[in-house]
Amino acid sequence: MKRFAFTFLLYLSPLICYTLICEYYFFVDKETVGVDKVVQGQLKSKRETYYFRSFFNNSPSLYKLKMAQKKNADILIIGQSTVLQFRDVMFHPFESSFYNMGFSINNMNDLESLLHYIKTGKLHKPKLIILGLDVSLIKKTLYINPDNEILNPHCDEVSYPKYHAMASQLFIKAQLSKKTVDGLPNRHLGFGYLGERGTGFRRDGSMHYAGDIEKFIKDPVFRDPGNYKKLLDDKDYIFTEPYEIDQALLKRLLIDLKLLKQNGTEVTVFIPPISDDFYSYFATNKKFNAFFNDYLGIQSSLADDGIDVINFTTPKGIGLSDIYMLDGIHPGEVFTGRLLYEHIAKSKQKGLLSKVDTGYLKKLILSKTTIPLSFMRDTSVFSY
Amino acid sequence: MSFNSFEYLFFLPVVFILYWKLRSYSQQNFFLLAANYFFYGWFSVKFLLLIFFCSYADFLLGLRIYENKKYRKLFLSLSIVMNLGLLFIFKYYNFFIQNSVELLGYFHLKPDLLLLNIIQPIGLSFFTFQTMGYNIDIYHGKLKPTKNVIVFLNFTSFFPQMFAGPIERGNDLIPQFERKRIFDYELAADGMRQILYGLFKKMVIADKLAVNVNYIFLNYRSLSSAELLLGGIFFYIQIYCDFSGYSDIAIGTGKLLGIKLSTNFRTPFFSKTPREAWSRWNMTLTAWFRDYVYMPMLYKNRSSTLWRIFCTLVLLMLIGFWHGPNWTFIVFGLLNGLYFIPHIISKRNTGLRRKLLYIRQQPALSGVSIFLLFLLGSVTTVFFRSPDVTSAINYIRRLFGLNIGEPPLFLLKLTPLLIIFLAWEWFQRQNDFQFNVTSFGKPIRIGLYYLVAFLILLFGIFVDQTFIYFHF
Repeated sequence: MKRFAFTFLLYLSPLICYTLICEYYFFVDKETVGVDKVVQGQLKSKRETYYFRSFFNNSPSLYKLKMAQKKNADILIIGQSTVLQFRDVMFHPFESSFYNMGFSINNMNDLESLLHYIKTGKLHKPKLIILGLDVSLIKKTLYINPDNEILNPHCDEVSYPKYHAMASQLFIKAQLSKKTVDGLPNRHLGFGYLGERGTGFRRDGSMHYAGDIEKFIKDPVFRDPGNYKKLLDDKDYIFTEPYEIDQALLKRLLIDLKLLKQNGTEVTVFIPPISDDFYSYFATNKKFNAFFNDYLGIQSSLADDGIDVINFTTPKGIGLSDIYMLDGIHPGEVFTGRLLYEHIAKSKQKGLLSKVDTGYLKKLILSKTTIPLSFMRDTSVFSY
Repeated sequence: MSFNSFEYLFFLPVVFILYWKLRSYSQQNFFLLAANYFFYGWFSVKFLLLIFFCSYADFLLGLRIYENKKYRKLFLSLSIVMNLGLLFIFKYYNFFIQNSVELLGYFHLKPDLLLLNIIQPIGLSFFTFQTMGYNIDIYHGKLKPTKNVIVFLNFTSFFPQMFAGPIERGNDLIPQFERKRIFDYELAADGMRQILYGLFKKMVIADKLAVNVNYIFLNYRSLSSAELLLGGIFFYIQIYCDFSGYSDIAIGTGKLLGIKLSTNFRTPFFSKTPREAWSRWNMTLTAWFRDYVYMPMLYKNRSSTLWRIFCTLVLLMLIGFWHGPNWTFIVFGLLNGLYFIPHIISKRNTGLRRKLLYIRQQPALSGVSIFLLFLLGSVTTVFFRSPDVTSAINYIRRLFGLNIGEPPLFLLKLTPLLIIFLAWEWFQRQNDFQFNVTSFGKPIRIGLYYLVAFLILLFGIFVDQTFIYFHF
């Protein structure tokens, strides 16, 4: 038996080496730091840190919920990836009481679970909520996972051996295809492969796209890495048919927003902008364009119900160009800042939002360091 | 815990080391029983209790059948009623109720019948058949019951084969528990090879194919004939790799513990006739039905061809129905039964028999018959995979609609891997399992081990893929 065990271990040794090599790289890139430790680390760190894994799932709902529960923010941003450029610095002097939960609310179930958490005290009751109203909240069928990620968030993958095996596969494939991001890890910069290279969720929940900003500095043109035109043509991802608004979902949304207001939380709905390039492209798609017009019609319904709305626009609509967009459907932070600034300036609402220092925000927008995609405010910890 | 899980990766070495440290067969048996129940309890403690009580009842009934000549038929009936009753309640009750309601609906009757909201204990179909076989063998005097309850409980719950077979006979397995197992290096090494190959079949081939198969069967209405044909072929290979992969791991684990389990698959894709295919696919289940259902039925009128056809149809339909409470499985069985008819008729028709024999003896013709049978099997398994008979018929109708469509490039990507796999299986077809590489030179052998191991590590699916036969 001993001979068998010894021979078996001998045979096993290359496989153990393979595992150890992969785990070493995961360790070096802090891919395997658990969500709890990331939350602790980000909150304790005196400098900005970024969290984004490449080989393990980020479990964004789990991470963002835990962060939000620790931050007790009075200003809460909720929605999907399109709201990720709202940053604390835009809400001076309330930076310390701000959190961006973008990328964790994918559907009405998520939204309602979050509101339930607020109602039951599991999450601090914010004074202001800005909700990014993506089509996924009210569209009939969606590519995006319809599960309730807030109530049952995806597990923290780093705690399970099976996900390590899957991550090792991704790691080896990435090495073989050389699809890796340039740059060496900076272990003081963040958590996860991309986090250590400056891309990821900041402490305030917003997203720092270091790679895209670097590319932009080298070649300041509009890029559309999401290739949404092809997705629209293929009726894929968020463009799956039928292009119809689910009236039941819309009704639920309106009820929830009204309830929030009644309970003393200010609500602003943000209709995410789209690049002019993509906007003019889908205007040729009759079916989708008709649906989009219906979707835009929600703006006025909301306003009629007394809900504050940051209306839809394209960059051209406020005198900018597509270089202020990260891609076809994601605005950059300067564009987002501009939309916020103009909305507060025009708004007659009296509440927390009206107390935001627009002068500070304007200075930020007009700062010499600001480039179309970034305020370049992370330079204290990351140099381009 | 599943064989392809990390829990099992820790469980098996611990059991292996402790098991071989034990001195006597009774210690080995006690420890093995604890391991079996821990393994089953990992899934459900509640059902573990059920399995324990039923096993114990079967043990007592087996002794009564042997000792009490007067009432042995009664005791056997009790055992069969208990086991079939369990199967009926947990697996088939709702099916019968739903169909009864539908049938009565034709007569404008709307009975308020209760549906049970219960889940089926994992491995129930295998467990009940194994224990029933044990008591039937005692009744027919083919087996002397064991008086050692620990041996019997190990027989009914041996963890490698408890969930999805192979279905063992008392004569084969019980004597192995009644003597001390002595570690055999060659047997254990053979077991490791079999486990490795089983994991490869499950994690690399079956689970990879599952992604495409799920897509095709979900979207069959919008796919071309070529894609649907590939869907059928892929599923046929998927289910083979899934189940034979499980059997390989089970048999390999048994060998590690010094227990030899029955072979359950013998390259069925290379069969020339349906009869041959069924004698090489899920062999222990087919043999069980043959010995305990088909043969007793057939002996009532062996000389009649019609009766033989009827018995064969019943046999295959029962095998189909064993898989689950769905008409799709019954139709699957019926179709397979119909494929046997030429063979049965040929028994009485010398001309036809000669022709069939001639086909089998000609290499080119037998190659064609293997290929055609493979295609027939692929199309028939559409019933096995579809959620209902209507979907299966629509799938097959669309498949034969000859809507060629665009070449399914994304599906063809997997084809080279499958061709290499089938070629390897052909090359290894004479062996008990298809990774018996002991005759190879050491460098080639070691190279093959690492090739398979790294294929699993680099391309295997590690998450959320249970074995299909766990559902049966």
